[in-house]
Amino acid sequence: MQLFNTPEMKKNILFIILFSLISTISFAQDVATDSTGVKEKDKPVRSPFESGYLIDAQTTVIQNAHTLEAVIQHKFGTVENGHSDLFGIYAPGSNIRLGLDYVLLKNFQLGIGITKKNMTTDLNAKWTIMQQTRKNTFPVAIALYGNVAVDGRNISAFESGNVQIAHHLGSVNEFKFPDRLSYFSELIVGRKFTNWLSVQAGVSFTHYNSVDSLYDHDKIGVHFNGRIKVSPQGSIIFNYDRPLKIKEISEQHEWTNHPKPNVAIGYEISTSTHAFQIFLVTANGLLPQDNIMWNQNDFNKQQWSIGFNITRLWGF
Amino acid sequence: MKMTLKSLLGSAVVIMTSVVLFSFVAPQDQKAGAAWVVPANYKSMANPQKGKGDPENVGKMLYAKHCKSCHGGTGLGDGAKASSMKTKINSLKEGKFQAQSDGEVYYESFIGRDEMPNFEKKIPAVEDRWALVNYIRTLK
Amino acid sequence: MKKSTIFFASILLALSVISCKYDFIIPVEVPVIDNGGNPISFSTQIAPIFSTGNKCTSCHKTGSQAPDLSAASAYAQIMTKYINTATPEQSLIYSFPGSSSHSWKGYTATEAATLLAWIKEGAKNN
Repeated sequence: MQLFNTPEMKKNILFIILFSLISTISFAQDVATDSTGVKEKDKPVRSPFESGYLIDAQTTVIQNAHTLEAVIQHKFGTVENGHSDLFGIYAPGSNIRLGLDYVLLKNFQLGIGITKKNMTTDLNAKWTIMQQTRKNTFPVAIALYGNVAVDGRNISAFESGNVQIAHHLGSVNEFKFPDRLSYFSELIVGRKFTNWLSVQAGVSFTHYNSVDSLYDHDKIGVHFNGRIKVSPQGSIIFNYDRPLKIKEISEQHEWTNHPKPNVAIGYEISTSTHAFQIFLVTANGLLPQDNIMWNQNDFNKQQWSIGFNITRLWGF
Repeated sequence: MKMTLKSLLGSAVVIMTSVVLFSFVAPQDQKAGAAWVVPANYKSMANPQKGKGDPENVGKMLYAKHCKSCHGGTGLGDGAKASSMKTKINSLKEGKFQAQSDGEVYYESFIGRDEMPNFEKKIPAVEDRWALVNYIRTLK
Repeated sequence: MKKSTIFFASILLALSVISCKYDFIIPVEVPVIDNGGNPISFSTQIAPIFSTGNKCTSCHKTGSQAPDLSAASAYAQIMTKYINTATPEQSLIYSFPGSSSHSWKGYTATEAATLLAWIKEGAKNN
């Protein structure tokens, strides 16, 4: 029984549950028949979203095969200081991520990125398992996203440079490379309701290999985001990410600085080759695990920042 | 020393302003494009959605996303990027353009040439391309 | 070129050459800290230096750049290796901000002097 209570085992159980959910759904694709009774393949809906990025979230949209996408994601400091630092634009606490994503095969994308905060490098992959179809034979789009990130800071940033292994009180080991890693995985389910409204919901699992002694290694989060198209090229976009308080995967007795939800709202303009998104957001991180684990900026305290994303596509 | 610094700064401003202004090609400097050479199979290509128009506004959305920036909102060839092209963009409303067959319009829109990009990869669905051709017809 | 373009370009040119001055900035004197005979309090006088206006906490917060100077963790974090009670002026928390390798933020003269005085008094968690 003791074996099933360790965090590692709980994480494995969670993954097994998530994967079995996916495999039951993937057998559901069917063909539609039109009015003459001839079987006609039901095509995927057009562009539920204009880009694979939606502020901080990933969408179920993956570009055509062999497309290369470059992305610049930027967030300024918070607007709390008003015009004294031009609403965060001059503040030092800004964050930026430069990324490249390549669509290897239809509906499968690999990406790499570098982020300023904690000098992080991330490798990620996204797979759109199912796409929503026009005649509703398959009513939603389902995608799986995962990444692994490496905290690239000098060893001096990790306090003593030593770690204690969980459940082995008193052990002292050197901080090694695997301690720099963090993981994020998310199951995204989305639906394009009308030409102007697309919404997604997601559940995610975040894991950090090493954390400060008062924090948890694992977090489960729920995500809710979408877009409202207001013109052929413009949409209002929004994000809500919430880390959950789940006692079973927490290793601490109390919730120390439980991370706050990330709230964002903005506007997107999409063109043939670019998507521009400008928004107000609370969390400062650009990697989803960062926002789920560490965000302390509170929506209720108006701790917003201005941010923008720019993506550019090349077809090969 | 004083005079040199001032004139150096002044000339820098003048140079920067002129660089910005010269990046736009004056209308009289743009070359007129040569006549299109459309292959026979495209010339005789039939429009499978002839007469069906653009009911779901797919063509309209695609035009706004991919074409408007050069060809302008109404097809006059006055889009934002038009003035930085070396070739003059003719109006899509012109009798000469609209008199072409659907297949010729299809070739010119999706295969393209020179500064007119190839859109086959950007708009891979054939059905969507014909919807866009139907929309371009309405610009008349 | 349009007439209005030439007009505005010349305004720009004029503005760039009319304001030429030759001033030197006077360095500030090191302020003398007089806390009325009371010991300098960490929680009311030192910790706010880090968090007011997110001066330091915009980057030095939980999950981000070390040391974590957010209200809950500041004292414990700086006591790890950023205080040198033997030679207070060499304390990293005092000397590093504003130096050439941390040029983006530093202390005002008053803040630096208050911090130094607090370290000299034993860097207590008061």
